Amino acid sequence: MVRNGLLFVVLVGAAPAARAVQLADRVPVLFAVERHSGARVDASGAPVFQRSVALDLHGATVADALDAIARETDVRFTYEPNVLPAARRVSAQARSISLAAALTEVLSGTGLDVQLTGVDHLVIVAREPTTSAIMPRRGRQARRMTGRVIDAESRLPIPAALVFVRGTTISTTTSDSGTFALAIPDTATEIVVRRLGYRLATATVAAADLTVTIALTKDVLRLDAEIVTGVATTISSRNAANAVAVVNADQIAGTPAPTLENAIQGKIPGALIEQNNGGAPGGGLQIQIRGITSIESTASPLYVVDGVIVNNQTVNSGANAVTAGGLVPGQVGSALAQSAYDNSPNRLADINPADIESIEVLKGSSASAIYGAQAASGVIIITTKKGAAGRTAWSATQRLGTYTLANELPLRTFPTLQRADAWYLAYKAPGDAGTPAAHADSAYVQSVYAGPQDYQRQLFGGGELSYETDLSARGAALRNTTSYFLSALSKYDNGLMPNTGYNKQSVRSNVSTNLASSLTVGANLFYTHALTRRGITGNDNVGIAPYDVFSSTPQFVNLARPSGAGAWSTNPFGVANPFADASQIQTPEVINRFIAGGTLDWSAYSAAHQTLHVILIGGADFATQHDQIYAPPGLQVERANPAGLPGVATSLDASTTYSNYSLSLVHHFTGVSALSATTSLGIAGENRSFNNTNNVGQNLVAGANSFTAGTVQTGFFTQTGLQDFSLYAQEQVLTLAERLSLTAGVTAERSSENGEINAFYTYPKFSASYRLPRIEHVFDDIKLRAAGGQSGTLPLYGVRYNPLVQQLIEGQSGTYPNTALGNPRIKPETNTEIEAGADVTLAGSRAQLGATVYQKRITNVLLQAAHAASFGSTSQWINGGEFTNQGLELSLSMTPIQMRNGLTWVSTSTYYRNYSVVNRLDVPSFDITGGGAFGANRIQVGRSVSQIVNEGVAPDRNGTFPQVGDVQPAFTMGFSNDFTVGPFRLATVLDWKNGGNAIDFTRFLLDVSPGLMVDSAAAVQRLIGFSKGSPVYVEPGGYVKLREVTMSVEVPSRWLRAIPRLTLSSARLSLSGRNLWSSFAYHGLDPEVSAIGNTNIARGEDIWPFPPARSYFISLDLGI
Amino acid sequence: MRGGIFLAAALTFTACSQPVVPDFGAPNPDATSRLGMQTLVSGLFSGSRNDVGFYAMAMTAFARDAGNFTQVETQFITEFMGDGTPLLPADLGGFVWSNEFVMARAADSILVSLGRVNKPAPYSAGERAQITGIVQTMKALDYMYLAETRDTTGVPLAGVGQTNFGTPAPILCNKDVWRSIVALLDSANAQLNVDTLNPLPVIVPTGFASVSGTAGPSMRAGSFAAFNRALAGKANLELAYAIARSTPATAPTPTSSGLPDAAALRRADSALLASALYQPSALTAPMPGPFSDPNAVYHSFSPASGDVVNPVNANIGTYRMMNEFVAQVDTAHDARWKAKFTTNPAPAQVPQYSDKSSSFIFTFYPSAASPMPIVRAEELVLGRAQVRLGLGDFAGAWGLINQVRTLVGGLPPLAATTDFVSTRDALMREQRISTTMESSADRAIAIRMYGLAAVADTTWGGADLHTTVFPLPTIELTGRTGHLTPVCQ
Repeated sequence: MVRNGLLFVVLVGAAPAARAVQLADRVPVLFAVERHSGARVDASGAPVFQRSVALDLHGATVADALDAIARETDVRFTYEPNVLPAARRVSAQARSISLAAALTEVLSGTGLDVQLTGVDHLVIVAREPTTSAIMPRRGRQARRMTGRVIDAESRLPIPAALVFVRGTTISTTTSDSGTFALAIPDTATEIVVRRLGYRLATATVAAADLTVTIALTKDVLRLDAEIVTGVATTISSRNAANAVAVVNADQIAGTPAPTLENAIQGKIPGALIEQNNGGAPGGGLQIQIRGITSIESTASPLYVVDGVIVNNQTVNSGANAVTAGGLVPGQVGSALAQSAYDNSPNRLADINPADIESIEVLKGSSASAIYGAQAASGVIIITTKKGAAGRTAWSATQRLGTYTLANELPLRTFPTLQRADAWYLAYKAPGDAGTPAAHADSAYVQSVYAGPQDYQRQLFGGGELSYETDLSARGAALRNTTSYFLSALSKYDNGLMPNTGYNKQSVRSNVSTNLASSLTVGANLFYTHALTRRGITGNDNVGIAPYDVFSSTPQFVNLARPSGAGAWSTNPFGVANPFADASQIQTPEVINRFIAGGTLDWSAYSAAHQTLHVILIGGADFATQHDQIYAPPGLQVERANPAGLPGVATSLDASTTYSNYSLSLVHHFTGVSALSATTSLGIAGENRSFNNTNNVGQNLVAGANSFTAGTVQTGFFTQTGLQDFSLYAQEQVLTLAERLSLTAGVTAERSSENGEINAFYTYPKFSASYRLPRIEHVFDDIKLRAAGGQSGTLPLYGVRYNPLVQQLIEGQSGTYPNTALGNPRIKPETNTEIEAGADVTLAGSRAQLGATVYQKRITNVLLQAAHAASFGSTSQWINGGEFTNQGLELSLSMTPIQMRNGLTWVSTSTYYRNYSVVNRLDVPSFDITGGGAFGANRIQVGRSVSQIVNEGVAPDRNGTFPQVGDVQPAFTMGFSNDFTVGPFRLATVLDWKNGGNAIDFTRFLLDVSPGLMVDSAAAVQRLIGFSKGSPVYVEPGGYVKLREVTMSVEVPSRWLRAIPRLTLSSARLSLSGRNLWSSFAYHGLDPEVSAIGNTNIARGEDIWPFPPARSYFISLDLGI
Repeated sequence: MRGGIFLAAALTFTACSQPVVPDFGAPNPDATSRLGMQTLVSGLFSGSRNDVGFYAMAMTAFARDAGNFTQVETQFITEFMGDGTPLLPADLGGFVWSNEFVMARAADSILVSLGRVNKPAPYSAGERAQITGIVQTMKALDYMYLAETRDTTGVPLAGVGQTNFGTPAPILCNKDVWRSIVALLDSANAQLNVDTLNPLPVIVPTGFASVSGTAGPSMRAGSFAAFNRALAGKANLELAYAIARSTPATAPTPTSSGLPDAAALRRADSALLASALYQPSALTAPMPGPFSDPNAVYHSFSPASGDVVNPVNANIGTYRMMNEFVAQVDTAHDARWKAKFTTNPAPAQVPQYSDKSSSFIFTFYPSAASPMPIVRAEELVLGRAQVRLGLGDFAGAWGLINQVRTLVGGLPPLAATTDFVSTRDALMREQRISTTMESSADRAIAIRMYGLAAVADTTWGGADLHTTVFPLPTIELTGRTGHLTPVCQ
């Protein structure tokens, strides 16, 4: 039977004629199945059964015995779970007997037969039909259908494919050899096969057919991915009503990336992914989905890994105690406490990209409503790799590479003493406040002139070797009842600056097992340890950041080399020597993180047309972070400490615990009038706790790096918590020959963050999609879709309370009211979103165009309503205001070239545009940050929520300042192209951000330097313009970046076979680079920067950043 | 079935448990206990220090004595000193404003809680009166900071504690603000004199050690009422001139004394004389180093964890004595000079910082733990000299001026005159060297009091562009559309 041009039937067997084999029941039958009739034919005469084998078995299980025979004879056995008798033990010794005899010895009396299905492939089957599928209802005739699922191109078997009979609950999965067996109705039946990474295939088998082979074509455009629709439900992307982006393993791990966020840049329409810490090692990127979704509260997506809600918090390192970057004049502790200027990474960095099978990005509220009041910013669902039936498949990857300086600022150089002297006389003449004023003539310059220096190259030269080693194994054990995936990672990314780098090790274990025929449990364990050293950069108020020093120090003083016995040079033109600081200041940050999750799937009831599952999913994420920063008191910058407290040592310990569970009842009904309905309802709960202790010691005893060695010690402590509980129900219907999909659901959630902790807030959702019938030569498939729903954003921790300030006075504890009032009636922000779109599949499924428009309305916006302080307080948290995001997402995936000779070109382009406007504010317009002609992020009605205004000029009559920029881009595009020619592959990702602005404080601060920029004359003009209110430092923030380039070659299999004592199934050698090329009009190091770390709006602020890096790697991937 | 039972049980269990997470971030003392009350009272003293550094530094700038001078924060030059254009309300409006009102709310909440204390035993009526007197006095001190920074701009006092954040309370005119402060101090004094025998029921910081013995009476050394009366003396003096300045006919001018309210001056005189802190004969020359005066009340600071450091000490490197008033000072002999100043080793500054330079650095607060005076005898004596001058008692004024000059400065007395202008100027010169960069802000207040705010200060070396009052915060203005003019009751 041929259907969809994919199906053909293959017959295996050597006997020319069908003849029944009648042997005693106790002896296994060696047979093959005749092609057309399905009759069993004697295969005992096949050459393979004559191979010689030696047996030495002592009480072995049948499985072990078969393994031993397989090793001896180079045949492959496949059998289904539970088919082998667990209790049977085999003892046999023989020097040389035939394979047939050996099998008879092992399988006699077991009721098992042996089916020859390939040259060296034997399938162990039960003599009586046995299958994991559900039998047809009593009274109906049934037949035993066997078959194979293979790759249409390579003809290799496909394991772990789901095979089911349409309109019934009869299903099974293919074995390692791609075979399956099903008891199916004795009528013409449609068999459907689904496998991740392949297009869905169907085959109609006639009433007399007993065997079938189904070939699957690769789903290079991911047209048939499974999309999450609920806590425990999914739908095929061909019927999905939401624009859900899916990124698979190949796209994630193809090019080495420091952390996971790097690996998905430019690959998700609707997401803006940018780094916030320049090039400091260890990650630190932020993801915004469909625009900014909150002004004051959390606007980061929710991350779910294998059902476990994981923490993506940023715990600032406490480097502020050295930099005072977060200093607010008059604010107690602001020069020592942790600060957003610490440039710390978020914890998504801990996940190993190589462990990930796929990432789904639920962008709209209709998709994410199942996660209630934490889903307004989208949900990123990460699924890690799982085990597979069959023998253990090992893979190993070794990468070597390095990170190098990507860009430099145009600092002035001094190639001759005369130029240095001229500069000195022009800018450091006596009478100015510069250092050292006492030196009035060029003799001084001569004494310090050490020839031209290149501080940037000297300090940020990098060049240290980076490496990454990945090992993984996936397979099944215990007669294929238990599958597993194990992995281990060890990596080191060098930092550009001395004494910086990112060292990480992780292990993962994903195990799934069938405890009984109706009970499947899975456990996922992940542990990681990371040591990150990020050095001291970013905003500072003590003159320590390297570029801060370069802004006052001419590049002719030798700072790089220690003078004498380890003593570092004193910088005569600044307060710090950045080379000494980089060498001596220690910034280790140690992460230990453990994520454990589990699933329990109990098939409580099943019949031919319906099933009821009870699904329990839960887990916990526990992370600790320890930072121990040490700045020795002997450093120049510490000796210059204005408070007279040289030397800083900190000890920060933070622990974050997330735990969540969900219990779902999922009822699936199918088979009546082509109607498929899935009903789910359940409960979910979540707990979070966060504890953070930071001790700071100042005025250290020399040589002691403990905060207790400081004469002045300051302690900070933070504790927060959260408890959530929700109920949900959902109905999902697929009908009209699977063309119409309808989904409706509602989640009711209560949270400890709300003012009314017992009040349930509801988040409904609905969606519909319809696939138009195919029109030959016009299109293959058109799906129209529309969806709507609500999700939310929880209030920040503690805003429901009226806080008190605790402050000591001479050791006596005192409290007084905070200036900000809480609100006992605070409630979640509400995100109401509608989206509509279409997906068009063309050219024989070689192209798909997706288009989505959306409107997201955020109401009950959490704001701090400022009021006259004469009330005795200055503000109160309120729900007031509304803003809207509107956007367009386009994606075009295609295979322009797919030739029989192996030449393939797969291309994916994405486009994303988001436009926001503030519709209403219950408070006066206000600034998030900034001011003057630097540009301020100002929230006001009628403007973009991320606008930048110039407050360096007078406002108009309405009190409105002119808009001079926007943090958000006009649009972003991503271009992924993958070329394959035989064993060669070239993959590229180009990332284009058009529009958007960044505020280049670094350029301003260099402009006011004493003539140390190359364009010092232009710098003066900029300052003049700035002084008159011109926003010259609000610069274009767009860019085009070549994010990834990977060239690889597959080693020919004959070469692999030639390697003695090593059984390699595949080997690939790759050269790759990240951020190799970029183009932008921005004048700083990189427009992709945020000095204030993880913030919703005030991104794009550039203050003395860690310079960005590009990376080069060579990789070897081995399959064993 | 079993699954359904399990699910129902789980639903019942989870639905019935409340998602309660405490407010981990804030302490919540038990206001019904004496221990809790102590915490609240300590918070009142602690919080009152929060912006006294801004107050001292800004008022010193208004007095033409100093300005912020950092290498990077150029805006402080114009914020404190002015750049020829009026200051925007947002520039300084938030300084010395919200904290004072918050502390007033804190004071009110203490008074509300006072009657509820029952652990281990309720306060007696006398104890309640003592605490009330202390709390009201501290509240008055916060109001004085507000009135002194805003001057004729006025201050709204009636809205504290309201939770309906509609139109704020009316802005009282300056003289009514001072009347309210005087009334509050008098009320506090009455409370402090209810129980003058028993020790205070709460511990006060060591900066208040000189007034921590009993609640009253004010003449008794160590009584808190002495502090109250010292403040009352100062408040009545400011009231007297606020009344005078409310009409042009009675307002002082650069060349005339005007007609300060005599009744208020007499109350000021009586209050100062009634304060045990007012000790003219006990004045002594200061020693270099941290401030120390047995007849003073001061804010204490500490670098200890959770405490507050001296805010001026942290700015020693940046807040330099920019104004070259050294010409008015006998730097060779004046003990006050030697105790407070040192020569700036790098006096020259770069042109981009408004061409300002300074020859000396203020050293009065040498460490993070240096105390900052609130009131002290030297200041009170000069304050009473102002009172005597206002009453036309030139001899009395000169006597007090020379008492400070000789006993504290170690300088020879000046010849007394009967001329208002010369007496005033001599008085203000002594105030400058005696109280600059202190939270008394006497000289800045005197400049406005005597109608000198618009007069060019030749010691500055150029055009005088200084602003002498803080503007109201923008939020106070927008909340009162059409009601910005101070209202006199």
